[in-house]
Amino acid sequence: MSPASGIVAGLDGHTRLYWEAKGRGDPVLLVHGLGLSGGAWWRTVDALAPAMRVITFDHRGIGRSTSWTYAYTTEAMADDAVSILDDLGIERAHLYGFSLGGMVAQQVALRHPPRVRSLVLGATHSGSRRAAAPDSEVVAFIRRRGGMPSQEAAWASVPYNYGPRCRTEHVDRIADDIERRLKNPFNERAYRAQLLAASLHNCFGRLERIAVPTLIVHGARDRMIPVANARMTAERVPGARLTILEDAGHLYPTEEPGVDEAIGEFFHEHG
Amino acid sequence: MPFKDDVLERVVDVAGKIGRTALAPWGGAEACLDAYETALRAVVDLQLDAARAVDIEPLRSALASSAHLTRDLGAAQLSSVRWILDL
Repeated sequence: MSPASGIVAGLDGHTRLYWEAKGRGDPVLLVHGLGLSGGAWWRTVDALAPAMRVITFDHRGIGRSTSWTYAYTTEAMADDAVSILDDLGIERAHLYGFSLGGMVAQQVALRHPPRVRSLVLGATHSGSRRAAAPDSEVVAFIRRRGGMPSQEAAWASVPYNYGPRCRTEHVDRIADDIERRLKNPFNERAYRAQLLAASLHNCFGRLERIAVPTLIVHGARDRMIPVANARMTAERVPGARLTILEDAGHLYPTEEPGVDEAIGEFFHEHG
Repeated sequence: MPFKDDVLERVVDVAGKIGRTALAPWGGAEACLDAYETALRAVVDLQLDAARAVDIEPLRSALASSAHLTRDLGAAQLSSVRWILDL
Protein backbone atom coordinates (compact mmCIF):
# COMPACT_ATOMS: atom_id res chain seq x y z
CA MET A 1 0.00 0.00 0.00
CA SER A 2 1.44 3.39 -0.96
CA PRO A 3 1.47 5.99 1.79
CA ALA A 4 -0.86 8.99 1.96
CA SER A 5 0.99 12.28 1.85
CA GLY A 6 0.41 15.99 2.23
CA ILE A 7 1.93 19.37 2.94
CA VAL A 8 1.28 21.62 5.94
CA ALA A 9 1.63 25.30 5.07
CA GLY A 10 2.90 27.48 7.93
CA LEU A 11 1.23 30.75 8.88
CA ASP A 12 4.41 32.62 7.89
CA GLY A 13 3.70 31.79 4.25
CA HIS A 14 7.15 30.24 3.74
CA THR A 15 7.40 27.12 5.90
CA ARG A 16 5.99 24.01 4.22
CA LEU A 17 6.22 20.60 5.85
CA TYR A 18 5.88 17.41 3.85
CA TRP A 19 4.40 14.35 5.61
CA GLU A 20 3.56 10.76 4.77
CA ALA A 21 1.29 8.31 6.61
CA LYS A 22 1.04 4.56 6.22
CA GLY A 23 -1.01 1.87 7.96
CA ARG A 24 -4.01 1.92 10.28
CA GLY A 25 -4.35 1.90 14.05
CA ASP A 26 -2.99 4.05 16.85
CA PRO A 27 -1.00 6.93 15.36
CA VAL A 28 2.76 7.16 15.88
CA LEU A 29 4.79 10.15 14.73
CA LEU A 30 8.41 9.41 13.81
CA VAL A 31 10.87 12.29 14.10
CA HIS A 32 14.15 11.74 12.29
CA GLY A 33 17.70 12.89 12.89
CA LEU A 34 20.26 15.35 11.58
CA GLY A 35 20.22 16.06 7.84
CA LEU A 36 17.92 13.13 7.05
CA SER A 37 14.45 13.16 5.49
CA GLY A 38 11.43 11.26 6.79
CA GLY A 39 12.28 8.57 4.22
CA ALA A 40 15.19 7.52 6.45
CA TRP A 41 12.60 5.73 8.60
CA TRP A 42 11.81 3.14 5.90
CA ARG A 43 12.75 0.09 7.98
CA THR A 44 10.78 1.27 11.01
CA VAL A 45 7.74 2.26 8.92
CA ASP A 46 7.60 -1.23 7.42
CA ALA A 47 7.92 -2.79 10.88
CA LEU A 48 5.24 -0.67 12.59
CA ALA A 49 2.72 -0.02 9.77
CA PRO A 50 1.00 -3.46 9.92
CA ALA A 51 -0.48 -2.50 13.32
CA MET A 52 -0.23 1.30 13.53
CA ARG A 53 -0.77 4.48 11.57
CA VAL A 54 2.84 5.57 11.03
CA ILE A 55 3.49 9.19 10.18
CA THR A 56 6.84 10.55 8.99
CA PHE A 57 7.73 14.05 7.85
CA ASP A 58 10.65 16.06 6.53
CA HIS A 59 11.98 18.68 8.92
CA ARG A 60 11.88 22.26 7.63
CA GLY A 61 14.54 22.86 4.96
CA ILE A 62 15.07 19.12 4.41
CA GLY A 63 13.80 16.88 1.59
CA ARG A 64 10.43 18.14 0.39
CA SER A 65 9.94 20.61 3.25
CA THR A 66 10.93 24.26 2.96
CA SER A 67 11.81 27.04 5.34
CA TRP A 68 12.35 30.74 5.09
CA THR A 69 15.00 31.03 7.79
CA TYR A 70 18.04 28.86 8.31
CA ALA A 71 18.43 29.36 12.03
CA TYR A 72 16.12 27.39 14.24
CA THR A 73 15.73 25.57 17.52
CA THR A 74 14.43 22.21 18.69
CA GLU A 75 11.47 24.18 20.12
CA ALA A 76 10.57 25.35 16.59
CA MET A 77 10.97 21.82 15.25
CA ALA A 78 8.72 20.51 18.04
CA ASP A 79 6.02 22.99 17.06
CA ASP A 80 6.42 21.79 13.46
CA ALA A 81 5.83 18.20 14.59
CA VAL A 82 2.65 19.23 16.40
CA SER A 83 1.44 21.13 13.33
CA ILE A 84 1.62 17.81 11.40
CA LEU A 85 -0.63 16.21 14.06
CA ASP A 86 -2.99 19.21 13.82
CA ASP A 87 -3.17 18.87 10.04
CA LEU A 88 -4.01 15.17 10.32
CA GLY A 89 -6.61 15.83 13.04
CA ILE A 90 -4.73 13.71 15.59
CA GLU A 91 -5.26 14.70 19.20
CA ARG A 92 -2.69 12.35 20.79
CA ALA A 93 0.00 10.19 19.24
CA HIS A 94 2.85 7.97 20.23
CA LEU A 95 6.12 9.73 19.52
CA TYR A 96 9.43 8.19 18.45
CA GLY A 97 12.37 10.53 17.98
CA PHE A 98 15.80 9.47 16.83
CA SER A 99 19.02 11.43 17.50
CA LEU A 100 18.17 15.11 16.76
CA GLY A 101 14.59 13.84 16.43
CA GLY A 102 14.84 12.57 20.01
CA MET A 103 15.67 16.10 21.15
CA VAL A 104 12.65 17.39 19.24
CA ALA A 105 10.51 14.64 20.81
CA GLN A 106 11.61 15.77 24.31
CA GLN A 107 10.52 19.30 23.43
CA VAL A 108 7.14 18.05 22.18
CA ALA A 109 6.61 16.15 25.46
CA LEU A 110 7.50 19.27 27.47
CA ARG A 111 5.81 21.95 25.33
CA HIS A 112 2.71 19.99 24.29
CA PRO A 113 2.20 17.27 26.94
CA PRO A 114 -1.45 16.49 26.08
CA ARG A 115 -0.44 15.53 22.52
CA VAL A 116 1.89 12.68 23.54
CA ARG A 117 0.63 9.22 24.46
CA SER A 118 4.03 7.58 24.93
CA LEU A 119 7.59 8.46 24.05
CA VAL A 120 10.56 6.61 22.59
CA LEU A 121 13.89 8.42 22.63
CA GLY A 122 16.46 6.77 20.39
CA ALA A 123 20.20 7.53 20.34
CA THR A 124 19.75 11.01 21.71
CA HIS A 125 20.78 13.34 24.52
CA SER A 126 19.04 15.96 26.60
CA GLY A 127 21.64 18.73 26.47
CA SER A 128 23.06 20.78 29.37
CA ARG A 129 26.62 21.01 30.64
CA ARG A 130 26.40 17.41 31.80
CA ALA A 131 25.82 15.90 28.35
CA ALA A 132 28.58 13.50 27.33
CA ALA A 133 30.25 14.88 24.20
CA PRO A 134 31.49 12.74 21.31
CA ASP A 135 35.24 12.32 20.87
CA SER A 136 37.21 15.02 19.01
CA GLU A 137 37.46 12.94 15.81
CA VAL A 138 33.66 12.78 15.58
CA VAL A 139 33.30 16.50 16.28
CA ALA A 140 35.80 17.32 13.52
CA PHE A 141 33.92 15.07 11.09
CA ILE A 142 30.52 16.63 11.90
CA ARG A 143 32.02 20.09 11.23
CA ARG A 144 33.53 19.22 7.87
CA ARG A 145 30.64 16.99 6.75
CA GLY A 146 28.45 19.94 5.74
CA GLY A 147 30.85 20.96 2.98
CA MET A 148 31.39 17.48 1.51
CA PRO A 149 29.68 16.13 -1.61
CA SER A 150 26.66 14.00 -0.59
CA GLN A 151 27.94 10.60 -1.66
CA GLU A 152 31.39 11.12 -0.19
CA ALA A 153 29.86 12.38 3.06
CA ALA A 154 27.49 9.41 3.30
CA TRP A 155 30.30 6.87 3.00
CA ALA A 156 32.71 8.90 5.14
CA SER A 157 30.16 8.89 7.96
CA VAL A 158 29.97 5.08 8.12
CA PRO A 159 32.67 4.58 10.81
CA TYR A 160 30.88 7.11 13.02
CA ASN A 161 27.30 6.01 12.39
CA TYR A 162 27.57 2.21 12.53
CA GLY A 163 29.13 -0.14 15.05
CA PRO A 164 32.02 -2.46 14.13
CA ARG A 165 29.83 -5.57 13.84
CA CYS A 166 27.47 -3.99 11.34
CA ARG A 167 30.40 -2.66 9.32
CA THR A 168 31.77 -6.17 8.87
CA GLU A 169 28.62 -8.34 8.79
CA HIS A 170 25.92 -6.11 7.26
CA VAL A 171 27.54 -3.90 4.65
CA ASP A 172 24.48 -4.54 2.44
CA ARG A 173 22.24 -2.81 4.98
CA ILE A 174 24.57 0.18 5.11
CA ALA A 175 24.55 0.37 1.30
CA ASP A 176 20.71 0.28 1.34
CA ASP A 177 20.62 3.14 3.85
CA ILE A 178 22.98 5.26 1.80
CA GLU A 179 21.19 4.59 -1.47
CA ARG A 180 17.91 5.79 0.04
CA ARG A 181 19.54 8.75 1.74
CA LEU A 182 21.05 9.98 -1.52
CA LYS A 183 17.62 10.13 -3.19
CA ASN A 184 17.02 13.41 -1.38
CA PRO A 185 19.30 16.33 -2.22
CA PHE A 186 21.41 17.39 0.75
CA ASN A 187 20.78 20.93 1.94
CA GLU A 188 23.94 22.27 3.58
CA ARG A 189 22.22 25.35 5.06
CA ALA A 190 19.51 23.25 6.67
CA TYR A 191 22.16 20.84 7.98
CA ARG A 192 24.00 23.72 9.65
CA ALA A 193 20.74 25.08 11.04
CA GLN A 194 19.97 21.67 12.53
CA LEU A 195 23.47 21.52 14.05
CA LEU A 196 22.77 24.88 15.67
CA ALA A 197 19.42 23.60 16.96
CA ALA A 198 21.11 20.49 18.40
CA SER A 199 23.86 22.51 20.06
CA LEU A 200 21.32 24.84 21.70
CA HIS A 201 19.14 21.95 22.87
CA ASN A 202 18.77 21.79 26.64
CA CYS A 203 16.00 19.81 28.33
CA PHE A 204 18.05 18.00 30.97
CA GLY A 205 16.81 19.96 33.98
CA ARG A 206 13.16 19.54 32.95
CA LEU A 207 13.16 15.84 32.08
CA GLU A 208 11.49 14.99 35.37
CA ARG A 209 8.40 16.83 34.09
CA ILE A 210 7.85 14.27 31.33
CA ALA A 211 4.77 12.43 32.50
CA VAL A 212 4.19 9.84 29.76
CA PRO A 213 5.56 6.28 29.56
CA THR A 214 9.06 6.59 28.09
CA LEU A 215 11.44 4.10 26.52
CA ILE A 216 15.05 5.06 25.88
CA VAL A 217 17.02 3.05 23.32
CA HIS A 218 20.72 3.47 22.62
CA GLY A 219 23.61 1.57 21.05
CA ALA A 220 26.49 0.89 23.46
CA ARG A 221 28.98 1.55 20.62
CA ASP A 222 27.45 4.89 19.61
CA ARG A 223 30.24 7.36 18.78
CA MET A 224 27.99 10.25 17.69
CA ILE A 225 26.08 10.46 20.96
CA PRO A 226 27.82 8.46 23.69
CA VAL A 227 25.66 5.97 25.57
CA ALA A 228 26.26 7.79 28.88
CA ASN A 229 23.65 10.30 27.67
CA ALA A 230 20.97 7.60 27.55
CA ARG A 231 21.74 6.57 31.12
CA MET A 232 21.58 10.18 32.33
CA THR A 233 18.26 10.75 30.54
CA ALA A 234 16.80 7.49 31.90
CA GLU A 235 17.70 8.51 35.45
CA ARG A 236 15.82 11.79 35.09
CA VAL A 237 12.61 10.79 33.28
CA PRO A 238 10.20 9.33 35.84
CA GLY A 239 9.67 5.60 35.29
CA ALA A 240 11.68 5.53 32.05
CA ARG A 241 12.73 2.18 30.66
CA LEU A 242 16.24 1.87 29.23
CA THR A 243 17.32 -0.55 26.50
CA ILE A 244 21.02 -0.66 25.63
CA LEU A 245 21.94 -2.55 22.46
CA GLU A 246 25.40 -3.90 23.23
CA ASP A 247 26.73 -4.32 19.68
CA ALA A 248 25.08 -1.35 18.02
CA GLY A 249 26.42 2.07 17.12
CA HIS A 250 24.46 5.26 16.43
CA LEU A 251 22.15 3.99 13.66
CA TYR A 252 20.85 1.03 15.65
CA PRO A 253 17.60 0.66 13.62
CA THR A 254 19.83 -0.58 10.77
CA GLU A 255 22.14 -2.61 12.97
CA GLU A 256 19.45 -4.24 15.14
CA PRO A 257 16.23 -4.13 13.09
CA GLY A 258 14.53 -6.41 15.63
CA VAL A 259 14.35 -3.46 18.03
CA ASP A 260 11.48 -1.98 16.01
CA GLU A 261 9.27 -4.90 17.09
CA ALA A 262 10.12 -4.26 20.74
CA ILE A 263 9.30 -0.58 20.22
CA GLY A 264 5.98 -1.56 18.59
CA GLU A 265 5.18 -3.70 21.64
CA PHE A 266 5.97 -0.75 23.91
CA PHE A 267 3.48 1.40 21.97
CA HIS A 268 0.79 -1.30 22.17
CA GLU A 269 1.37 -1.66 25.89
CA HIS A 270 0.58 2.04 26.25
CA GLY A 271 -2.10 2.32 23.54
CA MET B 1 42.84 23.85 24.40
CA PRO B 2 42.60 22.37 27.92
CA PHE B 3 43.69 25.59 29.63
CA LYS B 4 41.05 27.68 27.85
CA ASP B 5 38.38 25.02 28.45
CA ASP B 6 39.27 24.87 32.13
CA VAL B 7 39.15 28.64 32.53
CA LEU B 8 35.85 28.82 30.63
CA GLU B 9 34.37 26.12 32.85
CA ARG B 10 35.37 28.00 35.99
CA VAL B 11 33.99 31.29 34.66
CA VAL B 12 30.68 29.59 33.79
CA ASP B 13 30.60 27.92 37.23
CA VAL B 14 31.08 31.25 38.99
CA ALA B 15 28.51 32.96 36.74
CA GLY B 16 26.06 30.14 37.49
CA LYS B 17 26.55 30.49 41.24
CA ILE B 18 26.07 34.25 41.08
CA GLY B 19 22.95 33.81 38.95
CA ARG B 20 21.40 31.23 41.26
CA THR B 21 22.15 33.37 44.32
CA ALA B 22 20.75 36.51 42.68
CA LEU B 23 17.51 34.79 41.70
CA ALA B 24 16.99 33.04 45.05
CA PRO B 25 14.87 35.87 46.57
CA TRP B 26 12.40 35.56 43.64
CA GLY B 27 11.63 31.91 44.24
CA GLY B 28 14.80 30.46 42.77
CA ALA B 29 16.37 30.36 39.33
CA GLU B 30 14.18 27.54 38.02
CA ALA B 31 10.93 29.28 38.98
CA CYS B 32 12.14 32.56 37.43
CA LEU B 33 13.06 30.88 34.16
CA ASP B 34 9.75 29.01 34.08
CA ALA B 35 7.88 32.29 34.58
CA TYR B 36 9.91 33.92 31.80
CA GLU B 37 9.19 31.00 29.49
CA THR B 38 5.46 31.18 30.24
CA ALA B 39 5.45 34.90 29.49
CA LEU B 40 7.33 34.33 26.23
CA ARG B 41 4.85 31.68 25.13
CA ALA B 42 1.95 33.99 25.92
CA VAL B 43 3.48 36.70 23.71
CA VAL B 44 4.12 34.18 20.91
CA ASP B 45 0.56 32.80 21.15
CA LEU B 46 -0.85 36.31 21.06
CA GLN B 47 1.04 37.08 17.87
CA LEU B 48 -0.02 33.77 16.29
CA ASP B 49 -3.67 34.37 17.22
CA ALA B 50 -3.44 37.81 15.63
CA ALA B 51 -1.88 36.27 12.49
CA ARG B 52 -4.75 33.76 12.26
CA ALA B 53 -7.31 36.51 12.68
CA VAL B 54 -5.78 38.82 10.05
CA ASP B 55 -6.56 37.68 6.55
CA ILE B 56 -4.39 40.26 4.82
CA GLU B 57 -0.99 39.51 3.37
CA PRO B 58 1.77 40.47 4.07
CA LEU B 59 0.52 41.41 7.53
CA ARG B 60 -0.35 37.82 8.35
CA SER B 61 3.12 36.55 7.35
CA ALA B 62 4.80 39.39 9.24
CA LEU B 63 2.92 38.58 12.45
CA ALA B 64 3.63 34.86 12.17
CA SER B 65 7.32 35.47 11.39
CA SER B 66 7.57 37.82 14.34
CA ALA B 67 6.00 35.14 16.58
CA HIS B 68 8.52 32.57 15.37
CA LEU B 69 11.42 34.96 15.86
CA THR B 70 10.26 35.70 19.41
CA ARG B 71 9.98 31.95 20.12
CA ASP B 72 13.40 31.08 18.68
CA LEU B 73 15.30 33.98 20.24
CA GLY B 74 13.62 33.27 23.57
CA ALA B 75 14.40 29.56 23.31
CA ALA B 76 18.05 30.23 22.52
CA GLN B 77 18.25 32.67 25.42
CA LEU B 78 16.60 30.26 27.88
CA SER B 79 18.76 27.36 26.75
CA SER B 80 21.96 29.38 27.27
CA VAL B 81 20.87 30.65 30.68
CA ARG B 82 19.88 27.14 31.79
CA TRP B 83 23.30 25.93 30.59
CA ILE B 84 25.08 28.60 32.65
CA LEU B 85 22.90 28.04 35.72
CA ASP B 86 23.19 24.26 35.27
CA LEU B 87 19.44 23.76 35.39
